[in-house]
Amino acid sequence: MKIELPGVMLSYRLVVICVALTGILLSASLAVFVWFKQLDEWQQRFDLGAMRHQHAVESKLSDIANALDDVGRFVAASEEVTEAEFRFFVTPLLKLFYGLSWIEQVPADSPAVTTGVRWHDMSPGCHTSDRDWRYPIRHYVTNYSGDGLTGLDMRCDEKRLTAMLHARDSGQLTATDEVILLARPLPGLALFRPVFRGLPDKGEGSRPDGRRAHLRGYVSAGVNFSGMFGPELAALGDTGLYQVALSSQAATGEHVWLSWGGGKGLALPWERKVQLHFASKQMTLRISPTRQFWLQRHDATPLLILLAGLAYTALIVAWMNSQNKRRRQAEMLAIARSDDLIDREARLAALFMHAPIGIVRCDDKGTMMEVNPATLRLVQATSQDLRGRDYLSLFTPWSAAVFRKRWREPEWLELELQGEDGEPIPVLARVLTMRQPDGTPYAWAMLEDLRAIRHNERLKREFIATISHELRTPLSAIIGAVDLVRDQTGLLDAEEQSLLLDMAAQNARQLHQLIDDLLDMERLEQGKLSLHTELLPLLPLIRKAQARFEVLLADKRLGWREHFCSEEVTAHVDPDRFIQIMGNLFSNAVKFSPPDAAIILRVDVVSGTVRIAVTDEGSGIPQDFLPSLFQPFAQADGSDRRSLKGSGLGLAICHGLIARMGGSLRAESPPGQGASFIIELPLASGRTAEESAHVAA
Amino acid sequence: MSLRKVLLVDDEPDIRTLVSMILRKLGGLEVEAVASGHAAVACLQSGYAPDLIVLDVMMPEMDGVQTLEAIRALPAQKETPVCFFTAKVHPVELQRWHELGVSDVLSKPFSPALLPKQLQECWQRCQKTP
Repeated sequence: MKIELPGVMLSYRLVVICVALTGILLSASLAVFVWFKQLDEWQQRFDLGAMRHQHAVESKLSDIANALDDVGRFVAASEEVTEAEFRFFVTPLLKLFYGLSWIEQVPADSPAVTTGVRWHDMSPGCHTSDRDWRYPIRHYVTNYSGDGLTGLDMRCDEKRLTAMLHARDSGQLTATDEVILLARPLPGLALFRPVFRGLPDKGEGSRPDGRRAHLRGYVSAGVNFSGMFGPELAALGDTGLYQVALSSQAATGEHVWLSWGGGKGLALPWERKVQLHFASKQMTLRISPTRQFWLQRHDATPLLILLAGLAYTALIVAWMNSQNKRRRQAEMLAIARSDDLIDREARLAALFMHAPIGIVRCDDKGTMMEVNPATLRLVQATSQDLRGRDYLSLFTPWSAAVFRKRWREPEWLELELQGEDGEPIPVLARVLTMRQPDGTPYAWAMLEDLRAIRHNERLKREFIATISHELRTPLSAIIGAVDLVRDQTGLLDAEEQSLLLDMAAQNARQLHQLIDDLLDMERLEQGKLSLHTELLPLLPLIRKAQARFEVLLADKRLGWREHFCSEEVTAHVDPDRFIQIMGNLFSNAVKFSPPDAAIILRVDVVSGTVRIAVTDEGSGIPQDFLPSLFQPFAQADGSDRRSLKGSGLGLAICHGLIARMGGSLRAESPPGQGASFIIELPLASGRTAEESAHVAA
Repeated sequence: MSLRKVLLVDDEPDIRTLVSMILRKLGGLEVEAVASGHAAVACLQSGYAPDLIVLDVMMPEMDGVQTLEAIRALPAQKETPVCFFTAKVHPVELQRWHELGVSDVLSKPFSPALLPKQLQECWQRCQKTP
């Protein structure tokens, strides 16, 4: 199945595949595009949200650091800070802290040095928060293990701290005791602020800048990120669920992860790392969406687009298929119709060519367009002769006139065609009007040859006339004789009466014979005459037949001249019928022999065939009559002449009977030598009767 | 005057016998019966002068019509009434026969009793017309 495009013949399958692939690719591309667009958008929103996070975190940390600063200065400025004082000062700032601790130096001999636990807790105690804000203000000092400072000193200048430590180590920093710093990583983030007091002018220790400081301790705030920043983050609205982590890049490089918003703290590709530069410290704020959230960011749109695209492609392909199927069906229908048409054409053409009736196709003006062979045979012409001629020209003038008047009638008209030799041809004519698909009228004119029917009718009439004549003649004798005897008994003497009755009887027998002959003839023609053939010697049968004609021969003083062959002549014959045949031939011979003549009878065998010839010395048979001698009623040809007497069936019956017995009968009549009738039969030579009969039948 | 001499021409011997017997016995006529047209012409030429001639139509060699023509050709027989005798059922040549001068057509089979009467009447009719 091909589709024609300009210049290209593509297979239908190929086109369908291309369309399907294109559809799939397009919808997939679109879906992917939308996916990434969503991603991008979301990424932007995420970035936007992350930015807001950043600001929130930065400002918050800033606030905390400032507050710590204040606390540190307060502590540094006070000689001794009691818990109540500390609390009093810090309480207004507490809202910024999640936890606050104050680390102070521990005397060397303090048990805390060895045990490690001593802290000052300064809980405000004034908030019971359903938001889980806790204000444990602790200050504790514990063993310091390690060189560095764990936690995050946000406000402590690195330089200053280093200097301090150096000063301490180098003895420039005077402390009452060695400052044991121990900072423990609080859960979450811790901000430290060292608290310095000015040294009494005792003169010991010096600092680089000349001032003498005394490290008292550190103020630190622990930051629980999620608790602290929760409200701010929640207020960001469309940022949704995030994981926020804040990690410090302290010397140890240890990161502290805080998770806010649920989900697992997993590193995900869309993670915003915000570098916070805070108190000259680097912080990294990591904001990443929770997996759950991430998944939700992409809605079903790309999938829907893909599905829609696939569905659309499928629809197109289905539509193409249905179109294709329809086209196929139409093609097949057209082929079937065309096949059907061709078949019908062929049938019509066959009918046209072989119809026994003449059929002529005429246009609406009566011009002959097509002529079938039967018509050509009827009018003895060729199709070139007839094509283009007027149909009416085939008819005799009067027939044409009748036709012109009555052609529309549905019956067959008995008309005459103009014959070649002037002899009109009787026909039955009829016209069928038709219409071509485009509306042009045309006609089928039909002609049936009546010559055979007419001839048969004539033969039948002649036959009946002949038969009735043949019947009436003996009937006349019978009726006449019997009436005469019955009515005029007085006028007739015994001899005359006897004569008349004999005449009646004789004629009655003739009638009987005639009727029998008619029946025989009919049966022979139908092939229904049954014979009882036996293998018999023929001579005795011939003798029997001869015996029947003794009297007639004597009447005319005729004699037999016989020539018989020496051998025994046997054949498969029906004896009665054979005698009938011989009798018929003898009867003719007697009729046509002149008085005092002889009937010559010859029987011999010639190459397996028996030949029996009966010859008379009469005037013979005219040569032109010989061929029709054995036709029924050959003599009664309608005229009143008869050259032979009899029922006219005798020879025809003989001929048929001999043929049934497997032989032949013919006549010869050389001029001046009378007439000879010759029977030929196969000489029986051991073949069974059935075989002979089979051959004869 | 009445009919007295008849010439009968028929090839059937039985018909000849029968009709001769009928005409003689029942009609009291003199009948000469011959078997063919030739014999009829020969008979007439030899001097037989019948009052009426009865001709069978279907005969071999010379049929009734030919015999009639031959007879009419004879000078003495121009006026002699001639009846056709036929077994034909519906002779289509009836018109033609009448034109040829056939006075009557007798059909076979016939009634023996009526035959002489028919011939008499035929002869009477012919006498009347001039």
